[in-house]
Amino acid sequence: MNRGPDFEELVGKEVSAEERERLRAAHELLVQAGPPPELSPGMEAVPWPEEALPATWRRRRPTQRRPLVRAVALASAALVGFLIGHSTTSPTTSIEAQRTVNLHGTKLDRDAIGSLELGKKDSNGNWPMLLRVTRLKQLPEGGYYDLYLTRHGKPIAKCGVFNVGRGVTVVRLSASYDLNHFDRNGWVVTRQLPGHHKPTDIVLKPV
Amino acid sequence: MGLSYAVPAAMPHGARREPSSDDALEIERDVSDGELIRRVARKDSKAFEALYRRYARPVFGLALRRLGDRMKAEDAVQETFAAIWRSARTYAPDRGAGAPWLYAVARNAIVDRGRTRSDPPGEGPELPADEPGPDERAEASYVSWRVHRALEGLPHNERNVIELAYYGGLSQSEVADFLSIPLGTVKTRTRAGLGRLADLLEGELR
Repeated sequence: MNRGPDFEELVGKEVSAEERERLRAAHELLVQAGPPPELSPGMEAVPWPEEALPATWRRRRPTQRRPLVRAVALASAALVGFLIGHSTTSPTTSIEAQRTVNLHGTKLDRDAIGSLELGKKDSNGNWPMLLRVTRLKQLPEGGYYDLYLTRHGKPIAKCGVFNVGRGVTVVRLSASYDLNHFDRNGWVVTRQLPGHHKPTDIVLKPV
Repeated sequence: MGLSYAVPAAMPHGARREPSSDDALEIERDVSDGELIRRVARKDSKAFEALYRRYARPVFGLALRRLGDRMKAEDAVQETFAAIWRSARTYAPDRGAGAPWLYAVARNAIVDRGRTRSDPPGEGPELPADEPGPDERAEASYVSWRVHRALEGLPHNERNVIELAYYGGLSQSEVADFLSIPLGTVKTRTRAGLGRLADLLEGELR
């Protein structure tokens, strides 16, 4: 079993013996329990009981959209994302977060970790976002990372481009999409190596 | 925040719900599980939503552990919440708190789901002698259930530092760098979060 973080480092010395034992017990339960499982995007949405319960709770098959309609929708989303989702590195590393989505590395970059804070929509309809990442691999020249919104787990709308250095990288981004059209907490980071511009290599996804 | 949630793939067509408010869910934070169950018995959909937010991950974790298959576990989560909606009126507060009642409902739904497996019951691998037996596994499942539920009850900033430290593998300094907050704040939030978890898990700590 993973022993978890060092309890003494977490708690320090300025705690009474009685309180220390109480905290240690909570610490051991956290380690014993292991991480909570990741919910699929579909499960993030709360079922609506009145209609959902007596009726069929079986999965709907994904509808097949016509290729042309789908291509136009994707192209529009990409264009809007490109126009609106420019990222800027900023020394300002705080945002009035309404929601935080923790991200963890996929098998392509297992050690990577990140979080995305979603701010309040401004009067122009833009959602400010603050993305923090660490342990993402530095990419060769010409490579970059993209932040995408997903639908049914697939990256659909680009929210910005960034690169990483050593340590923690913090970037401010913005998107003007209607978030109802995407998975709840559906942000992923994709790796774009030189000459590869499709969002297929997801390196960070929601916990 | 005024976001509404996407309609899940599992929902029947046309069952879109009214936009939900995270603020409203925040208000439910101090309401006990038992009170929420009683409100669900009166068909209060807000209470149902709050229970779902509290228990979706613990139920899913329990189902995954028992069934070992994400799709079946997702089905078991749906069946659990359907059962909660149907049978909330059978909850008797004088016979115990809400969490054990919910655990029993979830366990029954998961067992039922396990029985409907279409796979032929092949011979499973023999367990080594030091593998946990059914009693130990059941106890471990209940502990995970309670801990995951308790994590849902922490304030966001405390839960964040605890999850990064315990499940993200970051040291306290790395958590501070990562969140761009002072190390002292990380330590304060971690201690406060552990203390709050100890309160929430009081029954398990005895």
